[in-house]
Amino acid sequence: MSQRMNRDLRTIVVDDEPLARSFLRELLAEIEGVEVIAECVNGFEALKAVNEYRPDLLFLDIQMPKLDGFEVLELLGKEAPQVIFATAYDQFALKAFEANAVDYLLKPVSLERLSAAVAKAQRWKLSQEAPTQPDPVKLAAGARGSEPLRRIVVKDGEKVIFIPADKLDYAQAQDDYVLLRSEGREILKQQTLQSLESLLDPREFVRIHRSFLIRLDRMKKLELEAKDQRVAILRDGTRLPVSRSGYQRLREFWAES
Amino acid sequence: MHPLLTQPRFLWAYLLAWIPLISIQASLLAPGLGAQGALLVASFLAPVGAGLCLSSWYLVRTAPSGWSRGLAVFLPAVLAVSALWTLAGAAILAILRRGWGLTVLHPAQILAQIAGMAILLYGASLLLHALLLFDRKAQEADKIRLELLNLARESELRALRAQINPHFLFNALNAIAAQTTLNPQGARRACTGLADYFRQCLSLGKQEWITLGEELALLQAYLDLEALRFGDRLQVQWEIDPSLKGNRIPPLLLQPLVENAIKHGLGGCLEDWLLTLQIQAFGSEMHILVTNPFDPEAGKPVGTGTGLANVRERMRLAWGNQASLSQKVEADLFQLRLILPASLHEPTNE
Repeated sequence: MSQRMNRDLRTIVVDDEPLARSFLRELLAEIEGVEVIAECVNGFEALKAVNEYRPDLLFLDIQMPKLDGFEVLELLGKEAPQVIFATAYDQFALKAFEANAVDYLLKPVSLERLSAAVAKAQRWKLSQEAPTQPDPVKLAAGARGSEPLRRIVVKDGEKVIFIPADKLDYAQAQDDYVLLRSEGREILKQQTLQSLESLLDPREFVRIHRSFLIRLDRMKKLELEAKDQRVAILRDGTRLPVSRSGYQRLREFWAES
Repeated sequence: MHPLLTQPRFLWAYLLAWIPLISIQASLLAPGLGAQGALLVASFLAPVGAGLCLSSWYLVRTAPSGWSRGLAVFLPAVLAVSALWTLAGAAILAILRRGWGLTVLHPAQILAQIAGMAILLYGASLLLHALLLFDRKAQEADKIRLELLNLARESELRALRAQINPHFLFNALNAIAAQTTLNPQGARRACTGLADYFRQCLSLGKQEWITLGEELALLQAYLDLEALRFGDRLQVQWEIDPSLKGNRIPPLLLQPLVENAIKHGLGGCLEDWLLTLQIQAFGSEMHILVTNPFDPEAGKPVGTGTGLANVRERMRLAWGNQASLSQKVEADLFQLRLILPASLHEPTNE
C-alpha cells in the first residue's frame, strides 16, 4: 500500500465497461500519488460521486449510455474536477483540448502514457496551472462534433433532465441563466441564451428578441400589436415580443426557405 | 477466320445464296450466249466469284480506317478483283468454245458484262463485310464495357464488405489487456478469439456468397468478444430454423446489423439488454428479425448511419428488389426485418 500523502490525487474512474475500469485501476495502482476512491458505471453515478467525494481527478469514458462524457462535464459545470478522457475513439481529442481536459488517452492505454497524464494532473494541481474553467456548454457540442445540438441536458438537483431539441418551445434569457420551456414545464439552466443559440440548429430556432429564442414550428402567427411592435403567438397561446432585428431575422429566414 | 467459315451452315447458306445470283447472271448473259451457254458460264464463274467475294473480308479487316485511306485500298482492289474475275470469265468462255462448241457473239460485250457484274458483286461484298466488321467491333466494345462495370462493382462490393469497425478492435484489445494479470487464461482465449474473428471476416469477406451457417458462426465469434466488454449485460437469444443454414447470402450481412444494435441499443441502455435473432422460412423467402431494446431518448451516439445503408445496398446488389430491409420501433423495442429469397444456390445473373 502506498503511503497516503496529502498530495495524492483523489481519483474517480467512470466507464460503463467493467474490464475497462478494472484495467485502469490496475494501472493506476502502479503510479505514485494517485488514489482511486470510487468507480462509476455511468454518467449519473459520476455526478453523484463527484458531489459526494469531491475528487481531484476524474477519468471519463466518452461513449456511455444515456449521458456521454462531455455531457457529464457540462453538468458538473464549475464543480468539475480535473478530467482525463479515456476512450477508444480518437475523434474528440480537439474538443477535449478545448474543454481543458488534462489529457486524452486512447484505449488500450499504456502505463507510460497514463503516468505522463497523471503527472500532468499533479503539476496542474500543485501550481494552479489549470487554465480557466472551460465553457461547459461547448463540451456537450464536443461529443456531437459540429452537428447542431439534438438535446439539452440540465441538472435538477440530483436528477438530470433531458430536453430534446424538437420538444423545446422557446428559451428566455434570465441573467446568467436561461429559462427553457418544454412540454408544459419550465426549467432553468446556467447558460447564456447566446451560447444556447449558437449550439441549436439555426434552421429550427430563431432569436426573435434579445431575450427570446423560439422554435419556429411552435409559432402559430405573427401579429402587429402597435406601430413597430410585433408579437409572436405560439401554438399554446404564449405571446412573445419580437424586436425589430428579430423580425428582420424572421423575414430573412422566410425569404430563404 | 472468316465469319462464314466458323459454322458450316453459314457457308451453305452463302453458297445457296449464289444460286439466284447465277440465274441472274445467266439471264443477263443469255442474249449473247444462249440460255444454256449463259447458264454454263454463270455456273462455272460462280465459284470464282464466290471465292473472290469471300476474300474481301480479309481486305476489309486489314484495311486502314478512314474514308480516304480506305478508298485508296478498296478502289484498286475492286479493279484488280474484277480484272481477275473477267480473266476467269474469258478462260471459261475459251474452254467452253473449244470443248463444248459454245457460240459467242460479241465476246467483248460478254466480258464487259462479266466485269460489270464483278465490280457490283465484289463491291457489295466489300460493303457487307464492312458492316459485319463494324457490328463485331461494336459487340466487343460492349463486352469490354460490361467487364469494366463488373470490375467496378466488384471493387465497390469489396470496399463495402471490408467495413470492419476499428473501434470495436480497440475496445476488444482493451478488454484483453485488462485481463492479462487478473485472468491470463481469459486474456489468451480472447486474444485467439479476436484473431479468429478477424480471420473469418477476411476470408468470408473475399467470397461473393456464403452460407447462413457461416455467417451465424461469425456472429457468434463477434458476440463472444462483445460479451467480454459488457459481461452479463449483453444477452442474446437465438431462434433459428436449422434447415435454413445452408442458404446462400452475401457475407457480413448480419454482423453489421448486430454491431449497430449493440452500439445504439446496448450503448444507450443502463441495465441488462436482450438481443433476439429470429430466422424463419416463409415460402420461398427467408425472414430475419433482429429485435432489441432501444431508448429513443438516448442521445444519438457517435458513428455514421452507414451501417444500415451499406447492408441495404449490398442486398440490392445481390437480389435486386427481391429483398428488403425494414425497421420498426414498437414501445421501446427496435426491430429490423430482412426479407430475402431463400435459396441454396447463388442467383444466376441474367
